[in-house]
Amino acid sequence: MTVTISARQAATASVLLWVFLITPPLRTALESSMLLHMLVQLPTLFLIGFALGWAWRQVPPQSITGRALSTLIRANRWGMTGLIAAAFTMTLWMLPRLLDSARLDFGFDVAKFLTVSLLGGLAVSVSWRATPAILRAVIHLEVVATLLRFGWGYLASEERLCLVYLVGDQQRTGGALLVLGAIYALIVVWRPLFGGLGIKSAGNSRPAV
Amino acid sequence: MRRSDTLITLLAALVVLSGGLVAGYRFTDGFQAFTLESARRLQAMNSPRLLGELPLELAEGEKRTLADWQGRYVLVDFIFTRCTTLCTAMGSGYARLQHVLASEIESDRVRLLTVSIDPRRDRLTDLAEYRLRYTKDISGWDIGRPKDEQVLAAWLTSFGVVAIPEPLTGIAHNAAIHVVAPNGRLVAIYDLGDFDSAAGYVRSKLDNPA
Repeated sequence: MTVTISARQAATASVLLWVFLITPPLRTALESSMLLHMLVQLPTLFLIGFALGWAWRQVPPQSITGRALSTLIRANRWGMTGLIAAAFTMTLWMLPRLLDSARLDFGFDVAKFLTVSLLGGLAVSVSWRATPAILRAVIHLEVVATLLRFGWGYLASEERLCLVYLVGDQQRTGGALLVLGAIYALIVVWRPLFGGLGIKSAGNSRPAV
Repeated sequence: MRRSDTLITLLAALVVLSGGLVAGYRFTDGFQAFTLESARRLQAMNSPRLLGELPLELAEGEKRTLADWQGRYVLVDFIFTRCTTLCTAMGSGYARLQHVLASEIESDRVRLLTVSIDPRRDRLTDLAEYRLRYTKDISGWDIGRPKDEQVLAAWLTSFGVVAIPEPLTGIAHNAAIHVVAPNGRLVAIYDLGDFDSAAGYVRSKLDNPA
C-alpha cells in the first residue's frame, strides 16, 4: 500500500497545523504544563518545519521557490549553516528562562513558533541530505547528549527553575527527556548494529547513519 | 563553482553562528541567567527598575501606594494567609528582621512591608491576624493587599513575581525578600531564608550611602 502525499498537500497541512497550534485553546493547553510544552509542542513545531522543508524540496527546480532553494543550498554546503541555526534555536528554547518567557509574553511565543519551525525543523530538513555521515553521527550524539543534559538538569534540580511550572512537572519533564534521549539513541544505533530489522523493507541498502 | 559555494557557506555559517551567539548572550544576560528568577535578581543588581505607585489597602484600612514609603528602605515580601508552608517561614523571618533592624526602623529609615497575593480571599482582618501570629509589636511592619486582581497584577509584574495555582497550598510563587531603595527602585532580591543578608545589605547601605 502506498500513499503519496503531494508537496502542496504537505505544505498546506503543515501550515494549517501551525495555525491551529498557535490559536489560544491549543496553545494555552499545550503550554499549561512543562511536559507538554517541551515534549509535545516543541517537537510538533519542529516536525511542521521539517515537513515544510520536505515539501520545498519537492518543487520543480525551475520555479521561483525551487530557485530560491538552490540559492539557499549554495550557502549551506554540508548542511552546515542550517544545522548551526537549528542547534542554537533548539537549545535556547529548552532553557527554563525561555520556556517561561514564551508562556508569559506572547511576543516571545510568536518568535518561538516561527524559529522552531523555520530555523529548527525546516533548516534541518533542507540541510540533512548534504550532511556527510561523520557529521551526522556527531549531530546525533549531540542531540542525545543535549536531551540527557537537560533531562538530568530538570530531574535533579530541587529548585523550581521555571516560574510558571511546578517542581513535580519539572521533574516529570526531566524524566521524559531522559527517556526520549534513550529512545533517540536506540533508534540511531539500531541500524548500524542490527541492520534494518523491520524498519526498512528488505533489499533497501542505504547508508547506515 | 564548488569553491565559491564553500566560501559562501563559510560566510553564511559564520553569520548564523554569530547570530546564535548574540541571541544566546542576549537571552541569558551574557550566559549568566538561565532562569527568569536569576534574571530578575541580576537586573535588580545591575539596572534596578523604578517600581512606581502601586496602590495598597493596609490592614488598618488606610489606602497607600508604594511610592508613599519613598525616602526609606522597604523590605517587601509577598504572602497569602492560607499558606501553611513558606509563608510561615516568611512571617517568622520578618519578625526577626523587625528585631534585627529595630533601631533603623525606629529612626524611620527602614520599613517592612508584606503584600497579599490573594486579595480575593485575604480579608484585612486575616492580614492583621497573620502579622499578630509573629509579632506583638507591629511598629515598622506594614501589611496590606492590592484591592483587586488587576492591581495585584501590577504589583507582580513590577516586582517580576509570578504566581501560579498549586494543588496543595493553593498558590506557588517565587517568594523572596525584595529590597526597595529610598528612590523607589528594586535594588536587591534575597532568598526566602536569607534574612540576615537582607538586613546586612540595608545596614551597609545606610552606613555608607555611596
